[in-house]
Amino acid sequence: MRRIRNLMKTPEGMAGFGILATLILVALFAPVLSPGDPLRIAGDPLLAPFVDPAFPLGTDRLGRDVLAGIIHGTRTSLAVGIAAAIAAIAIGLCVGLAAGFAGGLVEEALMRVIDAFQIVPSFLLALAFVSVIGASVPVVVLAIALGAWADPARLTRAQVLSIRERDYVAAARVIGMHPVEIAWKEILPNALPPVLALSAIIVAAAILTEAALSFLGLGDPNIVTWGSMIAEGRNVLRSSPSLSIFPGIALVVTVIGVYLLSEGFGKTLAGSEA
Amino acid sequence: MSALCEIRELEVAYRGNSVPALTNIDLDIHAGERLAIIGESGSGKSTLARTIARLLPAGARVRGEMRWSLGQAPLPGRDMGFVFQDPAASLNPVLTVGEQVAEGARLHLGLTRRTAYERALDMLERVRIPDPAKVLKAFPHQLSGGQRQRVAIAAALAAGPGILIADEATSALDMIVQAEIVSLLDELVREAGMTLIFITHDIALASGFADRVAIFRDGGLVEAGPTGAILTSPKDVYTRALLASHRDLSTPPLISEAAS
Amino acid sequence: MLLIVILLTFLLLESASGDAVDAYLLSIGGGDATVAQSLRQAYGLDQSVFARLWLYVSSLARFDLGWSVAFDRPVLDLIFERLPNTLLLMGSATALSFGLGSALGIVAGARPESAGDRVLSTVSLILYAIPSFWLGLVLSIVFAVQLRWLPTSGIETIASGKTGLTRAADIASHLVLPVGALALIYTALFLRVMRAGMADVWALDFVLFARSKGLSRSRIVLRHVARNALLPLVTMLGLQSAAMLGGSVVIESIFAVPGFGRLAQEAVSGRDAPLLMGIILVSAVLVICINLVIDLLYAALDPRVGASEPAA
Repeated sequence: MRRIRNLMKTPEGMAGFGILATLILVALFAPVLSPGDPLRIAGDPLLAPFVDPAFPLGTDRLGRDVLAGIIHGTRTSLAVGIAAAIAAIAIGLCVGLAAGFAGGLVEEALMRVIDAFQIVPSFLLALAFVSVIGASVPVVVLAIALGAWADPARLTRAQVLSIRERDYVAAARVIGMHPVEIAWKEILPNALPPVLALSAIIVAAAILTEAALSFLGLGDPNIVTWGSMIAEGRNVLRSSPSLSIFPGIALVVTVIGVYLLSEGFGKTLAGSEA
Repeated sequence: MSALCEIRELEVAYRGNSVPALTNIDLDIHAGERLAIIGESGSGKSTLARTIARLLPAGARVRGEMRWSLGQAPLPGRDMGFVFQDPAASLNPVLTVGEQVAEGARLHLGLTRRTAYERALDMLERVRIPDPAKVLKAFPHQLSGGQRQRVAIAAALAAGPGILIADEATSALDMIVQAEIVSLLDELVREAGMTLIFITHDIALASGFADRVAIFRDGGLVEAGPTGAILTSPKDVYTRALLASHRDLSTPPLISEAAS
Repeated sequence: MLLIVILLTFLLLESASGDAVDAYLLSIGGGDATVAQSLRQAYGLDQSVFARLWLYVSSLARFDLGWSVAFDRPVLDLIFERLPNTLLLMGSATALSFGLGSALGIVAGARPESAGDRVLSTVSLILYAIPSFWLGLVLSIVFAVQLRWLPTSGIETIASGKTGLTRAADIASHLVLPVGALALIYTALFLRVMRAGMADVWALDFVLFARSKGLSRSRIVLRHVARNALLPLVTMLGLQSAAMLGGSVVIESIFAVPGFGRLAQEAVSGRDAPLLMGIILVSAVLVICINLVIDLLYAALDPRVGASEPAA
């Protein structure tokens, strides 16, 4: 709690927190704010924005409510972004811990795997993965995580290597603690903070990747996403550019919120060290 | 001796710090003297050095007076050279030694690139670096700690300043190198008739060659005077305590340091 | 490293639900089981997993990336045909964003916390949050649809018969928007990295030493601070090359640039797994090559790299 209070003292942290809190509330209460299926046909097609109070942001080619789409799209973006980041960090932590702790050949092999994942463009990998397995939300999450776990894994290993040499780990070893127990109780809690600091960037990247995937038509077709809305609007880009612009703005605001929050965290961390 | 600089009621505070780093300092610096500023860490001695050299960080507040006999404050680089504690950190890792020694001379003496490098070579010879022509093209990481500090001294003196400030310039070096650098500084200052302001925590080291000493503690000046007078009859309790921690001052600095 | 990528692509190929033959048969409107069987035999799809892995690796060793089912051509030919466009796009975007980003980063980092720094930092934060495909769309709405200054798609005017300089100018005008969309975001990134690097360098002793030599502010900023802050930026350039290649997929699909990325999208829509895996392999090789170049560049910029022990 103290950390959150410190965070609120920085302007970046406060702005980021505000933006994300609002978005999370919108995502949670999407069915209340905008009841019904956002993909249903609600009115006349291609209504201009700011004209009809029933459809403040207008409607698309099929007469679907743009505002409803954006509200429900918040759910997808946040859920996929956060789930993918959690998955990526979880995989990264496990591999990093294993590599840092096992040493020797196992470490060497795991590091080469990490290298391999870092040289493959993660977006291409996600693209290939989704197109091969088939588009659905869990697959998209996994595809994004697949391209994002290498960084946290590398960082975790570096942390483990430096923590492993410290006195309290040696002390735990002396009193006969089992290596797995040492890893779990002594090393993981100390290796975690810098890896978690990376999480905001991973969430932001995951949200952008998800949007790009669904923009290319590789999202779950049964769910409304900002990326698919932008892609849908692209068909009538010349006549109704607003269809692509509004979901894009939602996307930008979300990502800015995540970045601001991470900058705020960075400042409070730097401040507590100084 | 005439006063080169008269410091009166000087007070310095860093930004965001209500407690000043220096308060109520009255001190004269004489032209051509070797003045040792002695104090423990946190005594404000480095702040004084940086105030004189105008190297304080942005937002630092300075009150009081510093009257220079020349009428205007000495220009950093041209009139005043500065040597820092850690030669590994004070040299730019990605520039050649030659460029770092030559750049001050080039600017202040209006030299061409070529003549500035000749001047740099000359300076490296004067600080007695072996194979100076090779070192000129080397990068700092290729030199030893003592050699780096010699390079830093050469760079600080490249434009021929009249004042040299050495801020703990020997503390990061090991004993033998320390003695070498001190004697080099002593010799260079004597040759050129420079004013040396030597900042150190080591009273024994300072007493070896300083004309006058000024003892600092907790941001204040404890006492100042000719080295002999302060050492034989210190007026302040703190000075006495400081001296007592170096029992035998007749022993050379090297041995007294090793014994403590 | 590359072997692991190969294994990865092979596993992805294997896990494809329905193989390329299914996709091909579907695309030609269906076929009977004997046709499918003979096709599978021709492509070696009817053997065991290990046999196929061996077949895959050994053909890769002969630079044979397989046969694209969707285009009915060798994968490698297709890739080499498209690669120059992507390299042109990426190269221009990298040069532009690196130059502009580091220059603006120097401006922002020259006086940390000044008004100019704050403005640049805020603008770069917003730019960095913009997805490149959306920026591409917005740019094409503004410059191509509204203002009609620039072409919206393609790499050059088709069948215009232009040659030499006029052709180069035509290609350049087609490249402005995609390069801009890709470069703006990386400009923001490089600006931020440069600025943060400079902020770190300002705190170091040698900057104070440079000040004590009485050097001009511009010399301190450029020669001492920016010169050192350039090093993390070069590292970042290498790290970002893979992401940039990924970003070009979307940008190329928006502006219909017939490049590598667009090929990837076509492979996806054509369910052309061999082509897709070939693209991934080649892009991994490309990233390795780029990083080799970056390592050389870094060694040239930082005298400490590969240096011997201190002389004494």
